[in-house]
Amino acid sequence: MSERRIRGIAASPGIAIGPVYRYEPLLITVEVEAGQDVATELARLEAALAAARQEIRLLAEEAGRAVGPKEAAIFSAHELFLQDPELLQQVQGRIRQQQSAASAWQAGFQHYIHQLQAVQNEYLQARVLDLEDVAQRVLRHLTGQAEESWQLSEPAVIVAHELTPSAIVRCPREQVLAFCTAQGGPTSHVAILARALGVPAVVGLGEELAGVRSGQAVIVDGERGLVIAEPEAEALARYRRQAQRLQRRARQAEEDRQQPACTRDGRCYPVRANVQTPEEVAAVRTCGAEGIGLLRTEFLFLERRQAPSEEEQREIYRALIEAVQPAPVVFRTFDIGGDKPVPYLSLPRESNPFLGLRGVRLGLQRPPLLRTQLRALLRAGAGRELRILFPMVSSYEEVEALRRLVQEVEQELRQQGQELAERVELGIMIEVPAAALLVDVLAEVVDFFSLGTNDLTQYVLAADRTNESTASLADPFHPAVLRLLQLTVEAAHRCQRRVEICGELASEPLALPLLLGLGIDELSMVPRAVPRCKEAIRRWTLQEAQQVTREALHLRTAAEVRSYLHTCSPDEAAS
Amino acid sequence: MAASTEVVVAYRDGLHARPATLLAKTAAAFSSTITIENLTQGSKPVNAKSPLTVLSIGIQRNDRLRIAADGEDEDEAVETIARLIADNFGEAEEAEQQEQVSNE
Repeated sequence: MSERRIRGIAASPGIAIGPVYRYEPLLITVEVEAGQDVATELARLEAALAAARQEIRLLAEEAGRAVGPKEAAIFSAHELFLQDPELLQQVQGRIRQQQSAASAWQAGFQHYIHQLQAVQNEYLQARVLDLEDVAQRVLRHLTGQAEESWQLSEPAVIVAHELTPSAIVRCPREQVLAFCTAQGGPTSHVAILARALGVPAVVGLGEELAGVRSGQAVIVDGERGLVIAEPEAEALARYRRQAQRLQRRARQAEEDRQQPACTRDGRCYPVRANVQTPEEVAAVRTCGAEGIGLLRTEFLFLERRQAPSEEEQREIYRALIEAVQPAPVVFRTFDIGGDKPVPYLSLPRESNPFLGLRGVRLGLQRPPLLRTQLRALLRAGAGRELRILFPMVSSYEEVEALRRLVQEVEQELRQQGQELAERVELGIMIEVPAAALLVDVLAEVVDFFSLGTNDLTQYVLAADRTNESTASLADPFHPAVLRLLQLTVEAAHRCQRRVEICGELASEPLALPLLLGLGIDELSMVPRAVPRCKEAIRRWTLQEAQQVTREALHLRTAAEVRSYLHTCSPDEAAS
Repeated sequence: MAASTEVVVAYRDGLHARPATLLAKTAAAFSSTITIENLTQGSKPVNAKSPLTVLSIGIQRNDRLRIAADGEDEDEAVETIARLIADNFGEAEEAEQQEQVSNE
């Protein structure tokens, strides 16, 4: 056999090289058969359901430990499927008509699987796997078969037609080099879980994957969505080098994460963390971030019956400040709009919440809410420097009104003899193109700018990034977005104002030379992206980054920008 | 006398496992019989208390649903379920922190 290349969908990044382990669980099917007496079969069903429930609970705990609560939630749904009243009624009905519990269960569940398979929606169709997972689990107990076991004697690449959530949670993770599946898309469980576990994965490889056998050597390229079976010496050598480089780089990034992030020509950058719940604060220090570059305060306002009191807010803000001091916290005032349910605000439904009453638009329309938050912030910052960031600004008047509000609150607190922040810096998010174009004007009334590239991208390109059919258009590497960023940074710097970036773009190593080249002063991102970003900064010189940026700004499309950036990583050329 | 109302689904990926089970769980708390009818797809009314049914009828974004209830607490049931759907199943925007792990 010779080298075969199979293309799929890149679902989780990284490179893996190793022997294949084919996971082929036995699919249990039973004949339609008569049961013993009805009472016995009903009791068997009860016992199998109880055993399955017990297993699912254990899996949920395991998943919570291994990948986090959000991914574990899928197993709560599995548990509820076991109790489905309509399903149980059907299955019990069949048993009463003398069917065995196993064949009644299989027939009852098949109905839902067939129905879901017929739905014309890729995302929903992918959920068939959940139903099969649950159906098989109960069937296994009813037929007295043991759970499929993983028999990995050495680290291996898992190859399967598809993988159920429970198969992934149960696999010996320390032995898994990568996952490859014939089925599945970027939103399948295997994709989500592989990313959470930090294991490379390629999905949607199709029928060709069936020809890949246990024990064969394989290369998994989770960057490009490529699997190479029985690779020849040349490909193997190339990928070994790349894998080593990635590993070395990741190790280096982890080791040096507490070191400053300075370019080779000596320009150092504060790299901070984005935080959206107080629980994440522990990660700020451990990931090597210098404080919090974006604290989303929405967690205090959502999913509750009443607005949080000034005192409750003050205590939480103070605790955050103390947790990361002397490094700063940039507090962003609540960014709530019609797309988020807030019972105590009774916001009208909007047909277009992203263009609606959100961020400071809401805050200025309902001053008591914003006033309370500002009072809490100013008091929490007592004796220190405080940074406040306002979201969704689109005009000069808004910033003036916000400044006035801050001044009023300050005065009020002084009169009441409250201790408050020594110095307050006010910043605004640059998310709306209007604000980006007005930076020189807005600079009169703000101290710093923070680039919210996610929203800015969707507003510049008029493409909803939560809409499946337009999400791919909302590409931050689009030259129009980059040019607007350039305009923003240049104008801000002419007015001696600092520019931070807190959008997703900050955590993309591919974008890093652009961010440095454009002249961004500070970066903030999800904590786990911090070590790698700092490591990437250390590989560049500012001059190289500026050169790359000049070239990139002249390209025509997002695709051209991306492929150009792929060719100009500084040590890619060196090795 | 039965109560009913119509509501349009804004949930972005369609009603997958989590929202479907949440809807069924919410419905199960009422004593009334509760049904969901997908007007957009022209399906028959189905039992809203069954998570498997709610999931497998494949409710998608922008589908118009009719929620109907019959029983002692029918008004409250219809209102609660319609609000759950209108409030996007209590899910805050989570797009911003999505996985972004590209590698050069």
